[in-house]
Amino acid sequence: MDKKLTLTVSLAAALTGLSGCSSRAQEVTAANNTRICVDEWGSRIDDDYCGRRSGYVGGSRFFYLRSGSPIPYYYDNVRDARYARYGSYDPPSGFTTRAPATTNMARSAAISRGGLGSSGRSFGGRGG
Amino acid sequence: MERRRLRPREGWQRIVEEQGLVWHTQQGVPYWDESGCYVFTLRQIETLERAAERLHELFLKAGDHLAKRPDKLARFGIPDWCIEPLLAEWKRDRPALDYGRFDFGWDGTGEPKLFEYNCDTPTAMLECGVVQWQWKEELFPHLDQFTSLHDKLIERWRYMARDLPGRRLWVTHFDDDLHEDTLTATYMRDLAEQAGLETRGILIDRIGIDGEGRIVDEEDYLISAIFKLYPWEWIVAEDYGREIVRRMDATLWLEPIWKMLWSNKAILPLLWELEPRHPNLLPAAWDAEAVGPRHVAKPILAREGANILISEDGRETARSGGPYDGSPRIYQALYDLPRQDTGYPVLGVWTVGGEAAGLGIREGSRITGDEARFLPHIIEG
Repeated sequence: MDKKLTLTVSLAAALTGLSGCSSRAQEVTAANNTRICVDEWGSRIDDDYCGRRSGYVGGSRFFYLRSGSPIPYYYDNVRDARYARYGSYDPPSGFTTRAPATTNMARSAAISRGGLGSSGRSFGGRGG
Repeated sequence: MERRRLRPREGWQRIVEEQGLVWHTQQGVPYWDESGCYVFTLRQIETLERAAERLHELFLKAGDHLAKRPDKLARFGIPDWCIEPLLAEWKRDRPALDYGRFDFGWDGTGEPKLFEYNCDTPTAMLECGVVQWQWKEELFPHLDQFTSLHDKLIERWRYMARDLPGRRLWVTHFDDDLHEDTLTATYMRDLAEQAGLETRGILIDRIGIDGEGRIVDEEDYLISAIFKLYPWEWIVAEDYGREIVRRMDATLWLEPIWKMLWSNKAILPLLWELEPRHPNLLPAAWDAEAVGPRHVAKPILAREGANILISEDGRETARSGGPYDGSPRIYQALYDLPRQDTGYPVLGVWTVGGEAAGLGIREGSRITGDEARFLPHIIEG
């Protein structure tokens, strides 16, 4: 019985030209007409807030993105031109789908970077 | 328990490289050493399993004891400001992989004796979980091996998946020259993905922090759950340490910060105090006299066998160098490792969630340092 490995094997094969396993997030685009839930200021929030019968305090509602639109992550604002030109609050004709789970995460601006890793540079790895 | 000489496979370097073990040779000497292997009986493997599982229970007991007696943490070298949040995390009992490697001295008779528990950033995971298994499958397909680490970690990630927001996990490590950290962390990503998680990799020094003290990745996405191959004692000593501990609620850290209790050699005297007749413990104390004239002095926070000193009847008989000279030391009674003509074996028994999960053997000098070679094993009889 073989132990299945995918990332490890391909990274090992590529390591002569790579350092680290850092990866960058991919922008996700809508495969179909897609609805997302936004708050009264246009920030994307979890769909649960729009699904509740009583509604979201402050007025959440669905925003509809056309197929091919980039999908905002949590707290990204649909008033941003990146999204606004692809969608509206008016439901399109036909069916709509929920945003892929991979976009259900939040973004926040870093005010600094590099505050970890100094001990690794001094001791050369973690050992143990 | 017996050591057997073998002829290494033709092109073994390429074979293990293809399995991810690119650090198979260090300074011209094989680290992955298939010129020999260890052979155990099933009964011996069961003894190792039982020892590791029994010790895991003892570590749980020690953690509860420290939560009730935080005054005993004064000698653990943990910053004062960390202690309360650390114990809060212990009591909160959030999800954890709860994996680690118990290092034993043993000659196959009587009870294995614990040297230490590596459970914050344990190494030799790929070697144990994959490379030695593939070696056995190729050379001894009719025999067994004590290696369920790979499958147990997938199972554990699957069990934890529902507790990870969006079933998403970030994995971080230091970008080391040997690529050992890189590939060990990537192996963990592989296992998590096989359990259905979406993973993202980030180098430890690329992590950022936002205005509210929460950590973010290179794309400024808030990191909701992170596996780090980087010791907690380093994290809390670095620039973001205080903010990370203050905002522990914003991120699920794996392993959790309470691993600072278990992976610290200061716990060894406490274990001995709690269970002085435990079959798998060696006497350990803060002063040398309490453990007898043949003892080992160990810095509480050292790694890879650094700054260890063996003393026998007032005579220093072995010493290793390293950068941890300033760290406080504990003393542990000396266990005479079984001598082979190729070195001294130390047996690393893995557990996942308290269950025994595999064995990895390192063979080196009397003090097992980073030059110690990894040897595979088989079960026969």
